[in-house]
Amino acid sequence: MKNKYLIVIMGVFFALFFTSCHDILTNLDNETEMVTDSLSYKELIGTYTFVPKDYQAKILHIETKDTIILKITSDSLHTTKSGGYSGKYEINRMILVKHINYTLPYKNDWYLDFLKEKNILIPNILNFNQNIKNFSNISYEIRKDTSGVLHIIGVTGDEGGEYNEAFEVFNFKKTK
Amino acid sequence: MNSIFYRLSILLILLSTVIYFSCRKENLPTQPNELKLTNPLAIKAQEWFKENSALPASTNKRDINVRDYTPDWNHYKIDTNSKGVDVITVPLNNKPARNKVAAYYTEIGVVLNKDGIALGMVKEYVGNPYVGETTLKLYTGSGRLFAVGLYNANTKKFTPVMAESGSRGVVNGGGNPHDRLMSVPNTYMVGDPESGGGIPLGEVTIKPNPTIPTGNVGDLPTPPGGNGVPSNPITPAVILNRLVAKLNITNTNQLAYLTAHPEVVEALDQYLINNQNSQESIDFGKWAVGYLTANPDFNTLKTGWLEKLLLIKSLDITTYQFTSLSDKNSMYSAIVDILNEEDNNTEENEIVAEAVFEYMNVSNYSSNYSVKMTRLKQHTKNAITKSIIATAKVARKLYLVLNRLAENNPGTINNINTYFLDPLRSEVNSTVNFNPQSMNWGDLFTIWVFELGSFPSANGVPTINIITGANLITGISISNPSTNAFKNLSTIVTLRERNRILLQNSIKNVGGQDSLYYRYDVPEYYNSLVERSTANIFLGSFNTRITILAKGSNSATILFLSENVSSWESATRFIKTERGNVGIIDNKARGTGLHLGGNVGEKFTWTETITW
Repeated sequence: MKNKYLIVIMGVFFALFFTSCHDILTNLDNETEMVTDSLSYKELIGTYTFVPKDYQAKILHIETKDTIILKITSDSLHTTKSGGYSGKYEINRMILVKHINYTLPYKNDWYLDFLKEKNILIPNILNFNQNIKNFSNISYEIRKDTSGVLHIIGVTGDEGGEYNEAFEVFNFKKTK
Repeated sequence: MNSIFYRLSILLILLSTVIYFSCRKENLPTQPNELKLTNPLAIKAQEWFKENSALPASTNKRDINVRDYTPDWNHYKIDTNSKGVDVITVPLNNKPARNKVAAYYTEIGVVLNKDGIALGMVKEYVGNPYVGETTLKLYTGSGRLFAVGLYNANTKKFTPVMAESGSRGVVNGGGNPHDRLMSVPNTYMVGDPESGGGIPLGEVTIKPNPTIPTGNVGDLPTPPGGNGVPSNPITPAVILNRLVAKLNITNTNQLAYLTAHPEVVEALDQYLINNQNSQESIDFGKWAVGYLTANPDFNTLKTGWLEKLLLIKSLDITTYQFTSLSDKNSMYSAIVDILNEEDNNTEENEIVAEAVFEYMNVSNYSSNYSVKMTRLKQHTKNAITKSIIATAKVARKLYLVLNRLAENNPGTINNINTYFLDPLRSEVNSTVNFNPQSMNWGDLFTIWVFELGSFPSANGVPTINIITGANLITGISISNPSTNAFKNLSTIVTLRERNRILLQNSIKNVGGQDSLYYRYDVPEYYNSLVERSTANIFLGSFNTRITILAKGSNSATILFLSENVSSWESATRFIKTERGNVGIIDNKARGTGLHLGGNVGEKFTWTETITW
């Protein structure tokens, strides 16, 4: 009898722990560092997933239970004038623009290049062409976590706004 | 006759002078207690000291003349450092008559390198190395200062706060602080970047000196002793007796107080030493013992108590009557505490407190009254001339103190603004250039923190519009433009360069946009101090958006728009006082609450033509 109570209490404890500490565990997992060396397109190509946090879901007009899948492919791969690479990407819900409610599946071009100049904050240039052509209000940062797994992080800021600082709009983690 | 005698006298005087100067010997160090040493390391150390003390003395005031010191070869000590190398430490007795700085304790430390060459340094503990933290200065054998730091008696660790640049001689390591100089984080800073400080110390460096080859780990001696302890300990009883004699204390209550409070004895003794036993320091010591004996509840275990005592004495609180506010006495104590928490700038704290007490002392506020606060007005204007950081410090102190006053006396905020802050703001107003096209970062900062000028509102925040051609953007007439011109900030460079590539590859076209948010976090904060980037210090985080206005075959016109909001929160996020992080001040709208630091926006708008 006592063991049953113990199991129930333990169950409740773990349920509470995982519910309340999910963010902490996720953040630990997501500690990343900017990739400052030139990234090859072969490293970039793959499938990435993103499960939004509350505030991200609010900004992106999606649900926290949604899993966003981004596929960066080598379809139509070609080199550009400046020596960068371009190809096709697919996303199951278009969330690569802040504050624009356009969450249908989407397909367009990706672009990767590298900046060698001094005083550059984000040396690997990643661009996802949008439905509004060449529009972007999110900076894409390519980062690696402590396990060496690639992340594509969208960063924006709202100086003087609700958040009044930089924050991650999304964090896609490479899964394969 | 008289004339001949007179001429002979002159001749004799001249001859005497010539003979005196021609026969005078150089004042070489004498070694009255030099022993015939037998230990090989001691012999080498003795030779090392002789060689070094024969070198020309430095004329730099911060250096020492080793000829003013005599090694006590009777009390040398040999230990083995953590590298397994024998180290000899020898107390240095200072000749009082020629004493430059009355340090608590000085000694030399010498080791032999692999080739048997003696390497050494002179270590000067300014204060008592047994209690808390004290300044430790390291000199080369010829007396050139090459590092200053804090020695902690509890951790036995040495933290450098200043090191000379010169040929690199990095000696890393942990453990015993003195058996090697420790590497310093790259972000370690000294001083105010705008006032010539802000020295980035990636590592401790050693000034070139013929007797100290630089470089190898373990080459430097383990000072003092084997465990970071001086060779000739001075007991607390000796310090007590010394202090009592210096202050000429005979009152039995005061003697009993000092006996029961060794921390007071240590601190006052060190204070006297630091001030070379000046009459002023002795007078303070006497007053302090009397005050503490009469106020036994005064907490002398709390960090910074001595500075608080200095502030209390300098303010002479007895002259204030405190008639108009019900709890002025407690406010007085709170204000002293706040200022004391901020830093050890006793002069600034005194000026701020003096002005606030002057305000508090007013018995009847009326339109005819204004607080003179003469010193505060001048001090604030001086700070504005000096740097943004100096201005920020005094403004922050004022805010904290006046905010406490307002919290404790609801309803007084209007009086504080009318009779204290507004006259001060009016005084400061004359120092500011309000023209957005020619102003500098200091002007912007002063406009924000003292809520000066009036500007059109954007999103509910008064916003200063800075447009194409402004000095802040181009860098014209701005100090260090490669770092401080807005167009050269890393965010702008990144946006410019990445869009140059995107335009070249037709990924971006007319109407295309891009944005980048500059994240100002702790690493950026330290970097901006290192680089003396006033722009980054002022702006903190900010957002920039670009729009492609026109595009040709190999060029394009880009519109840049950067927006920033200056607020207390962003200004105080990284402030750490000497007592640690003292917290963030909440944002507030301009014109509300205390008239200090209300939100102000800045909008930088300009166009550029780029080519590829």
